[in-house]
Amino acid sequence: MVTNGKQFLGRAWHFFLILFTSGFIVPPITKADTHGSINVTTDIGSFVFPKEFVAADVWKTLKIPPFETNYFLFRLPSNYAESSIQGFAATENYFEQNVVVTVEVLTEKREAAMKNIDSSKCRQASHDLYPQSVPYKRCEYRKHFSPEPIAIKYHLNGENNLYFREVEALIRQKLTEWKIEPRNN
Amino acid sequence: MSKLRIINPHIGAILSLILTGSLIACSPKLPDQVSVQEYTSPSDASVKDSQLSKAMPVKVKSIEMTVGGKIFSVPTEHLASLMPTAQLTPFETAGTNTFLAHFSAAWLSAHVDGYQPILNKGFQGDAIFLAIGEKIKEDYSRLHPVAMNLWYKRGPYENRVVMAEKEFNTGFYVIQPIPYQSRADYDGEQWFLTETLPDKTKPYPTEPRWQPMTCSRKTGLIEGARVNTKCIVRGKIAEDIFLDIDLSSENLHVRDLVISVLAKEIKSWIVEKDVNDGN
Repeated sequence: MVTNGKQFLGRAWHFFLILFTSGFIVPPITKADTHGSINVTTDIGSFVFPKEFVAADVWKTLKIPPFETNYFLFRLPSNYAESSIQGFAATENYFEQNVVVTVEVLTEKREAAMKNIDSSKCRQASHDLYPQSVPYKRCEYRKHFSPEPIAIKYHLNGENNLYFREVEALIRQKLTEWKIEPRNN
Repeated sequence: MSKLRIINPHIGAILSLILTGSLIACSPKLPDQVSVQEYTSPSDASVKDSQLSKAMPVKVKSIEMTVGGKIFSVPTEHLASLMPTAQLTPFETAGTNTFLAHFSAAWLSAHVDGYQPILNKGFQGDAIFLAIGEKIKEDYSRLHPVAMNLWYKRGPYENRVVMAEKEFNTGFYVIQPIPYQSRADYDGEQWFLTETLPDKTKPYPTEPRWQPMTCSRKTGLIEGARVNTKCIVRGKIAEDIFLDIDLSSENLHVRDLVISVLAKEIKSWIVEKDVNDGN
């Protein structure tokens, strides 16, 4: 009976040991599995944005981690843009109008090409969703947020092109909200 | 004997503890590129950022690779082997004459006017296959049997159908093999896009070469992933450097610009001229 008790204690210690050591192992795994906000580290500091602004579902699915780059994408969800900008339509021709934004933190080399850029180019396009083909006017906008070394590019469709300045202002506002200055120490 | 049985688990447990501790201490640190930081809101992020800054090691910005007799200083951002997808597709990203470079959707979008970085809720950036060197130059100078068979309407393409008018979306003629699965190692639907119609009564054009683009519908690796349509675009960026890139049909209209931007970038990685080129 005594032996059984000691054997039980021995096994209990094993159990405790497993629990104790798993504490070291489990947290990093669960942490790696997180679906939190996205942190992009650029040359001018980090941008941290909530997951609803993540550009595509694939990011969440593949759990792509924070990374260092001067190029990243985010989106203004169509409903968010509609509620923030008077006149902006969340859907057009049955298609959601999420605004995908390309952000580039300009290096010296790239700043020479992109400095003060404020352009728009429009073309007739059509959705390639076989067998459906829906034509629409699609414009591409580029803007350098001078004096900061940040340039953006985004596309708008149809009537939403009327509100490109408002969209641009909203993008600038979000980037300002999300930016964290680099620390020197 | 019974005492030994009692003591053994204790010794085993102590040894396990020491071993586990050693394993934790000796285990390699997760590379920074794949480390994960979770931020719950921008307001508390500034606090956490200070922790991140302190932990940030000095980064290697580029890695030198010798491929096809040339040395490339490849920025780490463009190393396909560091991309998360490389963990899903266990194949070599670099060989003697070839390597895969990664260009993100954001990078391509920023550099190429008209390039759409996200289509059908999927990222468009991809690995780019690069083939380099004199041997590759010889291989690429040979006529492609698939293109030849398509032109002459023979072999697996003897029943091919050519759409008489250019497709509105892409501005290309569509050539549809019948049956759709015309390649032995591929069971998905496949078709070709060309700028000019094939004509089997005429010699196969070589200057410039008639070069149809192979297109296919691809599904993602993950359940529920949407179907993507991709076409392989081949570009010659130097006498002995060739690349293949997958583009969605919506981005085909900027293919020349994509190739030219990639050519400029990739050539800027060359740090030493080919020892055989005599310059």
